[in-house]
Amino acid sequence: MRIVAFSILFFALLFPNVAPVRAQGLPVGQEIVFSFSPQYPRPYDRVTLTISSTMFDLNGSSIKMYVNDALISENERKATFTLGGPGTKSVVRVVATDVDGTHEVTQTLSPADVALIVEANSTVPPFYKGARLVASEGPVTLIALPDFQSASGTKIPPASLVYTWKFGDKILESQSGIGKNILRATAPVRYRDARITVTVTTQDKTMVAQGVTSVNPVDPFIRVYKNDPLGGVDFAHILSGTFAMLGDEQTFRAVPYYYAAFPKIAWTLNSADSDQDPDLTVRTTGAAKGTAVIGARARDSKVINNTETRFTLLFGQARSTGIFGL
Amino acid sequence: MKRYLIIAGAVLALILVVVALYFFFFAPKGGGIVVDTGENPFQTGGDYTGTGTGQEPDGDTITGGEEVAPHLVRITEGPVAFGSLVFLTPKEIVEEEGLDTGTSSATKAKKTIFVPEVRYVERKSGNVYKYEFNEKLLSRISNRTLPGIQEAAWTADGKTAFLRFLSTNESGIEVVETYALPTETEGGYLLEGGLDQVIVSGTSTVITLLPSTAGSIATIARADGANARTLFTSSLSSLRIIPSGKGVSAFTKPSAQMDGFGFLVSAAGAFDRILGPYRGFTMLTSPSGKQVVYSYLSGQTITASVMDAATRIPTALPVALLPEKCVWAADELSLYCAVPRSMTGTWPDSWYQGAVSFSDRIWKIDLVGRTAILIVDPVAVANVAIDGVSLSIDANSDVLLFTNKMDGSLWAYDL
Repeated sequence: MRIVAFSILFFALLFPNVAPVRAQGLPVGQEIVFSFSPQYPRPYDRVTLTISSTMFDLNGSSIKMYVNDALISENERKATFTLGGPGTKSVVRVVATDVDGTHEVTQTLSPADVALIVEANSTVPPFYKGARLVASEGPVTLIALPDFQSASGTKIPPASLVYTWKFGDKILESQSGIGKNILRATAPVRYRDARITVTVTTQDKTMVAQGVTSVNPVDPFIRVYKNDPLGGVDFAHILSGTFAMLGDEQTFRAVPYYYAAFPKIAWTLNSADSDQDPDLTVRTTGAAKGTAVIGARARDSKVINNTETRFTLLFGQARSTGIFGL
Repeated sequence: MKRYLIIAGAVLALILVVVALYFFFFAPKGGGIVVDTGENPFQTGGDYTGTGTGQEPDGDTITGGEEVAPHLVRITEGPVAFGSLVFLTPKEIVEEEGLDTGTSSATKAKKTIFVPEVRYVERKSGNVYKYEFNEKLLSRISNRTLPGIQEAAWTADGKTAFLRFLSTNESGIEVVETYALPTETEGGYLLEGGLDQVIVSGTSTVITLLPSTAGSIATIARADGANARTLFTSSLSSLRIIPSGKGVSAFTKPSAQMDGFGFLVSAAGAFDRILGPYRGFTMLTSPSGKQVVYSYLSGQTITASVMDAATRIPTALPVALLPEKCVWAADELSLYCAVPRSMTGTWPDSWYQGAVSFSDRIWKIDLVGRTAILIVDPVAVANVAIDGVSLSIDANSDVLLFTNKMDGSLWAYDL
């Protein structure tokens, strides 16, 4: 079933309007303006606060910065502090005193977190412990896993949060909204990486977190492994270069990596077309010994995805050449 | 003259006859290599356990293992399934007591001691073996035939092994199957097909991870399959899980080309991100879940740290270790790791694909003293390259067990 029939690129073309995203900690029109780095701090982050003002001269002021009433900086425009865990609040207060009096601004940071994870649906072998990488124009899923906690330590359900997805600077409006923490799409073509951002807020916009990632399609390729009738496929070692066949018969397994769907497999034996199964079994005839070049090709509907690997098979090497078979 | 010609001609004719006989009867025949289009006679399909009942007598106990260097023992030559176990098992001994030990006045008393025992699954047969480490005695304890076992997960007491292998179903589709095999009793059962991962926590709990179109489902059950319930459902389908205290932790399947994350999973099944995003990220939670060792790619190099799970404070480690080539000591004060001398290819992708192998040294990472102690360099002491995986250690940290990914052989180091 096709969940989303359009590519991310198409979403971007369809919804070209850019909507503003509310940023945490950027009050407008205040006497003292706070600037936090990172802009969307996560729990336990080290945060740098920089202050500025267009309404009075900070250079001629005595400045004190507090976090939860603890003095963290004096007569500096910049201070660094560490946030607490999920559900904590950090009340940042800056007091500047000049000849005109005292200017005081307070802001509360409630750290929140979102992990933005890319999952591709591409071909890998069974028992593969690594990630499936993104296939060109293959299905890809982006999942936002937020960690928002109230002051009481209660988790705020992900389904109640507001998700705003962006491709580049363009908001994917139909994919954004309350509870929409999953974006399913078709990956862009190779070499056209897609930068995806998700901004997650509570519905009252008191907490915000942001995740950014990039969808990078990769080149597919094919590997060949030994397939033993008793030991099974030896996925721990690819066959390349030269492989010495010890017995009279050997089976090989072709494994395509990072195709959007399982491609057609074609084997060659000394450049002659052979089987089209993922497994190829060869056996020696007579008492000859020698070499053969075995190739495995994978191809799908796009020529650019045709890949091939080859190795040289030594056969009959273990057999005696003595006149009496010794 | 004529006589000489006749003799020479006869000799020549004899030589020709001998040569002809050789080529006719003895010389290698012409031939080559062909593709065999016949069916694989060994193809499994439905009957996973062979025709045996599993009740046949076990194999004889023999002396096994070869000490290739001081303390370094090669237990098997052939490949074993990834995932073997070393644990302490009680053994009753008779000990003489009293001042006059060795004389007739000494009294004899029975005493129970705990000795290290290794259990593993032979990859080609699926037979289960035990290796009594101190006595160097090897014996088969299960002759159930299950060819092509790729992985095994064990209960801590070695009484149940979860064997994972590929099987072709009636529709011709290859499926990962898992068979729960009691090693000391009868029975056994097949778990749900297509499980992405099976891990064991303690002696009695098995946790399975099943991918689905909407993510994945983790199920927790007793080792005998009873009391199964959902541990968590996640919208993530590309996960690896690790036992962590009474629950699990998880991390996204790693790659050098994708950001990875680590999570603690609460009892309610909620994911709490603790690490990431990092490229090439892998992690290993301590058995209690209180500490997490992790590594990731920082540019082209590996950065490894250990983090306190409660405070989230990381501490850099002195060795560029790879968590899946490590095991926690039971006291969680140290780690034992197989650390590559050098790395080639793209970590971790190339290694997972089998495109590269490493030659490791075994290190002990002392987390209290923050030091790394070289335990053994297999190349230096035995001229053997070991790409160590599936590390296991007993509760007393007496024996370190590992599999050489290069050839599947099983090794142990007497600590």
